[in-house]
Amino acid sequence: MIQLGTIKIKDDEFVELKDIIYNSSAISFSDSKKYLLENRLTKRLQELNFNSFKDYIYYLKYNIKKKEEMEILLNLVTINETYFLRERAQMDYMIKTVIPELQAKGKRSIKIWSSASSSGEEAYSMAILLNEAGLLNRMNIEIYASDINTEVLETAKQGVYRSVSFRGVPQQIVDKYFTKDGFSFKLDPAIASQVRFFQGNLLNPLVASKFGKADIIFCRNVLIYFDMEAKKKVIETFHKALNDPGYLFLGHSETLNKISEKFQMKNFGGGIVYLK
Amino acid sequence: MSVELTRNKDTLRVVIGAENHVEGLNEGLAAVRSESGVYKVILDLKNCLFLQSKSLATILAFKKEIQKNKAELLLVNVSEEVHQLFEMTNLLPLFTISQDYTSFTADELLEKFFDPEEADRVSDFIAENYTDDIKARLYDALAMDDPLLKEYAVLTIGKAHDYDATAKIKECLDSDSGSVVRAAILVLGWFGEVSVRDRLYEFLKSSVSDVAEAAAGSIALLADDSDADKIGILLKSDSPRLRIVAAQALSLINDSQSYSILLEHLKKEKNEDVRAFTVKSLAGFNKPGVADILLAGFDDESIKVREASAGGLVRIKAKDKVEEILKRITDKDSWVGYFAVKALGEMHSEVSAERLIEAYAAVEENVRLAIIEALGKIKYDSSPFLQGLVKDDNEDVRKEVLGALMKIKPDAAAATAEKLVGSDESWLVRFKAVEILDTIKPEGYKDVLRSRITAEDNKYVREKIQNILEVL
Ligand SMILES: C[S@@+](CC[C@H](N)C(=O)[O-])C[C@H]1O[C@@H](n2cnc3c(N)ncnc32)[C@H](O)[C@@H]1O
Repeated sequence: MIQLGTIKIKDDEFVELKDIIYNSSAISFSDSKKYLLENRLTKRLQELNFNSFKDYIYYLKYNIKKKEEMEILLNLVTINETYFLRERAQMDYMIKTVIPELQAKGKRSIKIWSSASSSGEEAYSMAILLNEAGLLNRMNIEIYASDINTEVLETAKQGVYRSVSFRGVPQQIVDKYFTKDGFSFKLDPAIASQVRFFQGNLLNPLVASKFGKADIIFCRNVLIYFDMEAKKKVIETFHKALNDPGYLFLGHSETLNKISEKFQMKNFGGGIVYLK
Repeated sequence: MSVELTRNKDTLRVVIGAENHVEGLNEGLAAVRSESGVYKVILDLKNCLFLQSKSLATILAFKKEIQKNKAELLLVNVSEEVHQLFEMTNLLPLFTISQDYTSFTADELLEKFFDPEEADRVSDFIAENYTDDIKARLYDALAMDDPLLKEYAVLTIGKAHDYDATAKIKECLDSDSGSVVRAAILVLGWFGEVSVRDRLYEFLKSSVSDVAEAAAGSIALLADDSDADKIGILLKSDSPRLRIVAAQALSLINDSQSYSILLEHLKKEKNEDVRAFTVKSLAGFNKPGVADILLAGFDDESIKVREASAGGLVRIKAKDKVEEILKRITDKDSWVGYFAVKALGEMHSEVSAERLIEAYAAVEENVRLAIIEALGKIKYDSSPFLQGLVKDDNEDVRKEVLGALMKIKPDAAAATAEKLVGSDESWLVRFKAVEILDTIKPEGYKDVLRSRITAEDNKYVREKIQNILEVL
């Protein structure tokens, strides 16, 4: 039980495990990320009484509850880092320009999809900013949010956060929308009820079928973990899931360059938006 | 500036600048050519978020030049984008890529705390290369509001054993960020700061589970003879989670008193998760009675407890209990059987070999795999049995056979590997076969690999072969 340090992963175990993870989530682990798997999975291996990664791989393959274990594995290996108002310029642009543009084209209701939402900060930030702009109750705006990781979705649904989620958020926003209790901050239920969460794997071409088509998709800071082939697949899915016109926002270090030519890139000063 | 060169003994570090990569690389290459006595070249790409593909030709030229001198080339701080470029151009297997923060400024290092994939490693690096400059910045970070920065500052100061900061770290126990408090608890434990021990008991009850676990660990580090009893009281709590934390603390304290408390508790505990955890904790004590407790655990009604007991046996090597353990390999829960077999393998128990082979047909697939693995650890010629499984339908069986043969009969393993590397339909088996050939290096194995490479359609196996042969 008292294992100091991590359980080390051997080369053959590493390739097999990374292949398993890649096939079910598109996340690629390069060799330099071995330690990441060791760090994040050692505790789970110990819980299951295992002392090698091979044991764990067999557990994923031969256990009757392998589906559940796969879910636990993905919950453990995804990087879920996120915070409120991250790359805010894109959201401001959406509110000031994109939504009015859609309205001008006669759109009466607008669907926004936060497609790798993690614990919900991204989707809730939009709800908060829409509320600040007075748009929430004036227009029919639906916000959907999904992620592959069931644990972060649970946090999202509870709407309870720790202070790390508020990096750089103006105090007045925190005070207005959250109630503090010990180490946690609870989101105002009126805002929380604006977002509908569901579990969704971006590798699944039908991932958007829960809500039909979206007008605006946010897919930020997740494509960086995918290889070229997976990126292409996901972007193709987005293209199909978007209305015409449709808007796609990626993370600041992500681009569609060499991935898809179906979108038109527009630099709006504070960032980039891709138009269908 | 397009390149920065520093020489340290036989190592040349080449840091490519943010602009004019091709020019920088060429200058670096020229330096490698002109400097003599260089045995290691570190090509630092920290400033190259992107690279044009034409730069790759120059990097390849680096590799050739360096190979000529029998020196070593290491690529460090390669961005995701550049990594992907290497991947798409199939160059990855030719290079050793790693992370190296030597050329980073203090600010650049602290910035990395915000990158969840690198934060831990950067923190380790800073702690090992602790300077006054860095120290001052970490102290600044402690005074800031950012919880992430603060958490990593605390952990890093702790790893660096910078006792000057003790008072500052104690203050962090009052932070309203759970992760900062957790970090402070851990570090005060590492520092042996007994003055906070009583305060840590409050944190054991925290609803934030990693705070409670950190407190358990630190109390154990700071414990004196009275602590086992104090923690024992928590085993009476109504909260199963708190009882688990308490059991964890006792197993970390690991003294005789903790052992008796846990032993008593096991008899009373009704919750299966806590019972399983208690069994596991007991397995961590080096006491003569442990093997019997674990064997008794085999008969528990809860699968979790049974698996924890069997798993514990793998660790303790109960040589005098071979018979009892052998009876369990056909247990109705195949994971109990799996652990039982593993335990026998760890004991290298010769008497078990034949019994394991006998049981093989009757057990489930996972137990079979454990049996093959165990046979590799037991001094007994099981090779005829193993050879009979080389054509088994299950790829894992074939892979395990290679692994076991490798340990008991390397020659047979090499011959089998040579066959399978070209014929097995499973890439997992071919990967293992390549590994074995590379370990044993039988005569002509490079030719075998060379002739395989063009037909190989799995990227992991192909990269592995390329890596061994150092070819494209
Ligand atoms: C770093 S977070 C990004 C969160 C948020 N979009 C932001 O920018 O702050 C990446 C998220 O992608 C999710 N993810 C990874 N692979 C996924 C997949 N195949 N399908 C859906 N979500 C995935 C992870 O679980 C994680 O929560």
